[in-house]
Amino acid sequence: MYSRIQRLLIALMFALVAAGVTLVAASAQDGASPPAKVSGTSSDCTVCHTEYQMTWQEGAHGKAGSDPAFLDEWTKQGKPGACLVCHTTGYDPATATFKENGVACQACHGEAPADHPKSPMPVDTSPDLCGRCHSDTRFGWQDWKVSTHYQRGMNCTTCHDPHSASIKKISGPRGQAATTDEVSALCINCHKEHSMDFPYTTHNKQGVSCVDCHVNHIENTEDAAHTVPDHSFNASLDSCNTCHAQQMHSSSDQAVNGTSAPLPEPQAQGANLATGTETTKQPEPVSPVGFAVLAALLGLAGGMVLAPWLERWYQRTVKHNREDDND
Amino acid sequence: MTSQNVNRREFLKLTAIGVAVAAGTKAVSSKASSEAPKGKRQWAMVIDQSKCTGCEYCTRACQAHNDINPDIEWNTVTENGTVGNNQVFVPRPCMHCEKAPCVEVCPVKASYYRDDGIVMMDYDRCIGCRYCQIACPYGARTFNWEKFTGENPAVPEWGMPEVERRPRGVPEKCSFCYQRIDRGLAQGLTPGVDSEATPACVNICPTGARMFGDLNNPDSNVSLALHNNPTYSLREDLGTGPRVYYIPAVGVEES
Repeated sequence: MYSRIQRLLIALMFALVAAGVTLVAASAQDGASPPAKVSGTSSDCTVCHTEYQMTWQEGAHGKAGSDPAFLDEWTKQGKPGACLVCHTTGYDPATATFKENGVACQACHGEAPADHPKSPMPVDTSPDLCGRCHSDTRFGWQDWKVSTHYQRGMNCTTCHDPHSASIKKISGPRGQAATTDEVSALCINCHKEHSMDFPYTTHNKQGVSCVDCHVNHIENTEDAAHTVPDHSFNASLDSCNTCHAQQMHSSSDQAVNGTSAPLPEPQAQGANLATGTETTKQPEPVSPVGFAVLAALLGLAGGMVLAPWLERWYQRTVKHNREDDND
Repeated sequence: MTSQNVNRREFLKLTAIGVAVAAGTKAVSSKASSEAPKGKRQWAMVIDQSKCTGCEYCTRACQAHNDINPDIEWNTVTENGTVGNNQVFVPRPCMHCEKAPCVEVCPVKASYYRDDGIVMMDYDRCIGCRYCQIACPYGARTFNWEKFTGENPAVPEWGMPEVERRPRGVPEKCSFCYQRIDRGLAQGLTPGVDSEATPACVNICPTGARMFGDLNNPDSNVSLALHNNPTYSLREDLGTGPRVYYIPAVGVEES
């Protein structure tokens, strides 16, 4: 008879085999995002530049080619190659191949110099570089050019961290926590004239940040997948109407009676404002590891059940062999 | 006898002359060492206070590029009153003085002038006496009481470290990002024009309030800025000859 430990070991071996096979199979199926790999990828860079790895791969640039929202829309539109020009790195329309999924290091930095790291990676921090993908139809350069920010010579990287592809984080003086939520903190860092009023407004207390009113997300009718953030930073009537539509121009009898439409719930306001983040709330696909764990559990159970039969088969074989040897 | 006397007198004369010459040379050379040598290039910075919004991006970029302990700031930004409705800020890097008190007081010559006017530190030579820190009228130097270990919170969002961390027991200060200047010049770039060769604080300034360049080049942006604007520098009365100049915010009365 096998001891319990031996049975468990056999079961574990089953589990390992099952998990391994499933992991390979699931990873292969993961190729819903188009597969292609050439050396000189971001994994080479992150050997040394570990600092950038996490922020990049968690950010919109790192996920540009694997974001479920993008993959859905891309598949729906019949997988056009035009999307891959910006959603992958080094896309070659002639061969329909690319070097790396997502907006990787080379997309902005270009090829590393031959004597890197002695020579630093080249990078163009001008808006022209960002504009290669964040072009007029997907960004709204016309709005940007009327903004004071543009006219004062500020560029994208003044407010945006290109690696995490999000707004730069500002803490308070000497590492203190910011006084208001992060996005507003970045604005107030320069627009100090609002540092003593905005944090105390109802807007701030309800969680409305500067950009909720000053950066409208304009729906782009030509290209439904992208919205255009209005970088003129002008708060328009539309900004107010996002929340206060029912309070605007109330009908005359209401005005006479002194009754006005009830205020929408604060939560609802927040939800309205969060249109920009809605796209990220897609259900996450189950990772290959998840499948593998499930398979491992099945294998473990299977191994436990099969162990007695195995043992009997093994003993019979051994006995048989011994008899053969004896002959 | 007489000849012997003469010889002795002449010997004494010669000795006296020799001592005098030696002393004179010493005096001249010591005087020369207290003033920055004038090399081919003379780096300087001009800060336009009318453009500065006090956002402290310069401080953050400096922290990242020079891998500075978060408790230390090479470049501080302080508020200094208002002009009209606008606050006025004084960003303060090292002034890289022409007659730097910190260099003068250093007993082991760990602080020294480079040919291009940058006041530099030899951390290996420094004995940590902190004379320089006390001598600096601008408070530009900070002492490393402890070794800086662990992550630098300014990295990577504000830049990547380009120099080694300083050891415990030495003071440190702004170096005008000498590593960027030297590397840029080696690549044929122009500091102040090409961002790769320009100090990190100048590059990151969102409003372009900082300018950097060569005072010996009459067409450099700092030379032009100094020519076209009224400027002042901090504590001119001390005669330190700072190489950081300020264009006052509009309406500021020069003191």
